[in-house]
Amino acid sequence: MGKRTIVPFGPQHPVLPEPLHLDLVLEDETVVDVIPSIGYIHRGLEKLCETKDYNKMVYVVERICGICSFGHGWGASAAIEGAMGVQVPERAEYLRTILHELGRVHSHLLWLGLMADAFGFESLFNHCWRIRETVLDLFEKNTGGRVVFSICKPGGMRKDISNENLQEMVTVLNGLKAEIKEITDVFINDASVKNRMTGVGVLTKEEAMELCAVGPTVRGSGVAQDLRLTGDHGVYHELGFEPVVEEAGDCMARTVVRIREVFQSIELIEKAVAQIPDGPVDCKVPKTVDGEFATRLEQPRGEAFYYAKGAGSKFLKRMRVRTPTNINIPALVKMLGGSDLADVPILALTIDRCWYSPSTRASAVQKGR
Amino acid sequence: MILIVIVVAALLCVIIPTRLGFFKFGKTILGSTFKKTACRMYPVIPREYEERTRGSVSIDGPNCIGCGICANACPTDAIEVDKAGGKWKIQRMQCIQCSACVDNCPKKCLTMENMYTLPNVVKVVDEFEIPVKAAKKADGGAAPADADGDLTCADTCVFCGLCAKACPADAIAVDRKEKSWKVDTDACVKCGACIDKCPKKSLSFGGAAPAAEAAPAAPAKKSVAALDEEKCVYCAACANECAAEAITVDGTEWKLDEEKCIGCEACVGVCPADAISMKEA
Amino acid sequence: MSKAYVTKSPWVVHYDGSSCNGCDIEVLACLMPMYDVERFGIINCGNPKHADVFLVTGSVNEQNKDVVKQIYEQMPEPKVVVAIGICACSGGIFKDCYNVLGGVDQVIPVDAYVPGCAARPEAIIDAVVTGLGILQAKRDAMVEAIDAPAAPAAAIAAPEAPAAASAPSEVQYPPIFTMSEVKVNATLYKK
Repeated sequence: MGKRTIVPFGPQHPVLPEPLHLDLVLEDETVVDVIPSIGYIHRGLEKLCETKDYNKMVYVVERICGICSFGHGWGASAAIEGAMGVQVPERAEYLRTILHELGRVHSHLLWLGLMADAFGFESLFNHCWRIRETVLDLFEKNTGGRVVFSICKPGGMRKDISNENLQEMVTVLNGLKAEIKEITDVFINDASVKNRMTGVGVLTKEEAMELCAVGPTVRGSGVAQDLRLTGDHGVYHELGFEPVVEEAGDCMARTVVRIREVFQSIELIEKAVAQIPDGPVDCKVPKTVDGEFATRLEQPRGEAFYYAKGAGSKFLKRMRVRTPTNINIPALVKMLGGSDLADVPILALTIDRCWYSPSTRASAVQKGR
Repeated sequence: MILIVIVVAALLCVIIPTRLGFFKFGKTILGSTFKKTACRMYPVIPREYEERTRGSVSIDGPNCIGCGICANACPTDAIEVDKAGGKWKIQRMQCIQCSACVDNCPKKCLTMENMYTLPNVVKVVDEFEIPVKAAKKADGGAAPADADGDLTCADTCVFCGLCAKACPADAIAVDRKEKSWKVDTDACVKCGACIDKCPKKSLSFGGAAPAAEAAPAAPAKKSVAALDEEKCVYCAACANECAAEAITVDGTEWKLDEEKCIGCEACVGVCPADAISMKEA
Repeated sequence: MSKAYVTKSPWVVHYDGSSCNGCDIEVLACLMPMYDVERFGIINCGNPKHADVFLVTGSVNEQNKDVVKQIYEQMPEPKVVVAIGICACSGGIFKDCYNVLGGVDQVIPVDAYVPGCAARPEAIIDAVVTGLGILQAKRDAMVEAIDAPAAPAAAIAAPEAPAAASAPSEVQYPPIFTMSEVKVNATLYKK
């Protein structure tokens, strides 16, 4: 047995945008065990529902993560609407779907850039984020904010987006397709990139299902699990949606899944804009919340779970949010076992971290699904 | 000559490796060398914002009535309204630019500007002057509509419920069947939105005659009920519901007295066939 | 001691102290082609021991408190701390949370505050420029304290001087980099 050293990774690290601590147990240069330590972003915001009414709670939940912020606003609003028993108008559902898919394009472009940075390809990082700025301009034009939009509310949307603006959005995105293709060709075909990503962090189909991985992490391992198929939220069932699946299970497969999802999201936006009906974008909601409701959304990182419970006042009794990265941590630990030290930043990024830790509750792992 | 050699050499160094499978990014990098910069050159070229950009909140001081609804609506408690001292304060380093205050202001005196608050070495608190309420009462004379009394409703009330719908603090409860009108004086923030909305002008503060500061003009655009005759089933539910008794249904004839109609939209809500909508008088 | 122009190419270390990442991605967007602070010589180095400016985001929670302090203490003098986003200024929307300390200035002294949720890259660039003025003033104060013919006690006290000088209400820091000094033909860059 070789000599073992423990190398602490994080919480401050140039490649990590958020704090994460991993104690890497190394034998020479191979990682044999890893002890993750999360909770650096735990703010205890679920307790704020005691002092902030349900309208203000939507602003709080939106700020769980700045990258998938629209999805959080949608999930919180949908959970509260379900608890009230209110149905939003169809135009609002279409607008929510369009903005959520635009958020997915933005999130995956951001992730591609960070991934390139993780293996040192800075010029690719710069080009990915340059394209992302065009998407942020679209957000600013339509919602008023670049990162946090504050446009979803219980009952629908706070503002309407005109059909001309939606058409312009489609034109701009179609114009970006050529540039995105140029960048993503490098990810898929360049020899040095392939060297760093193929065969690294393999997660087999059985392991992915046993560890309850979600999102592109599980879709890269051959499991066609995507919440947009269920039709619980949004208008995906009217847009003819098929999940993107890759078989290989390594970092390259997960990257390809995300790249294909970018193009798929642009197509979904185009279809939705062609079909969007006219009408109101919000509906009347009661002043108090009475009832409980749970909903799930497919965020760019995977399945996010939202639960709201009200007991007849304007303050919610309980609000629970479970973000996808919490569930992907066991998959990360499994992937890190047996990898090289140099691959650790790539693996830490490949599950697309968004470390929100509302509690230290463990997730139950059920065999067979 | 040398230039041509350099260009050819550069192209060879890019094309051959690209074909071989490495340095795939060469074409893009070479292109960036000659294309215009993507940089916005921020401090040199000032930034132009979109129409909806949320930068910072500004207030039209003289129109503010100090009701405090913005402070209640603010998710981060960044706004502080001092009615007696005549000050409206906002902590710039606490504002999340959500526009909740702008949307909820009954007098529409708050605007979301495009320009963001500039960074500073201290935590900036901006203060604005607003009209002070207490001074007016000392002048005497007929108490103006914003006097420091409780909200009262005169006998001309038809229990249409428009005041309750307009109240941002949910302080008014109107029951048309019971013909009752109640106000929760603790919840009332004295913003005057109900006084503006009442079609019969029956509301006022302090029990004084509302004529002293009546609405500056009759509501500029009154909306009245309009019938879609194809949908109407002549059940007369609208006539029964109408608080102003403006609708008469006689057999298969539906008549509306536009003078009496107060635009409370009660008939719209009660129609089983969705046959009534509101149009401008 | 020679007058080194530390503000001509300040290196930056960035840390997310319990933030939602909105301000962090705007900080990284500053380094990207659209806003490109590398024009001013600013590099995001990952190591606090090489950095001059510390960009912190997030309302610091109990677990992060020691990390922020440690990074601050590892930075060499003179150093400037910029708190980005309202969470770092005063706790933001999470101010009432049980686990949140209420902003970066509860842990380390802050030199510039950037409002916004999420703070715009333009605001971040403005704040870094303000911070550079403070950085140069601190460097000058440090140099003077070392060069001055005072008792040995003064020399030992010299590292303290920049910290004392950072109280903004007492000293006026001249901005080292003002727009009037930038001599660039802006018409070249008009689209």
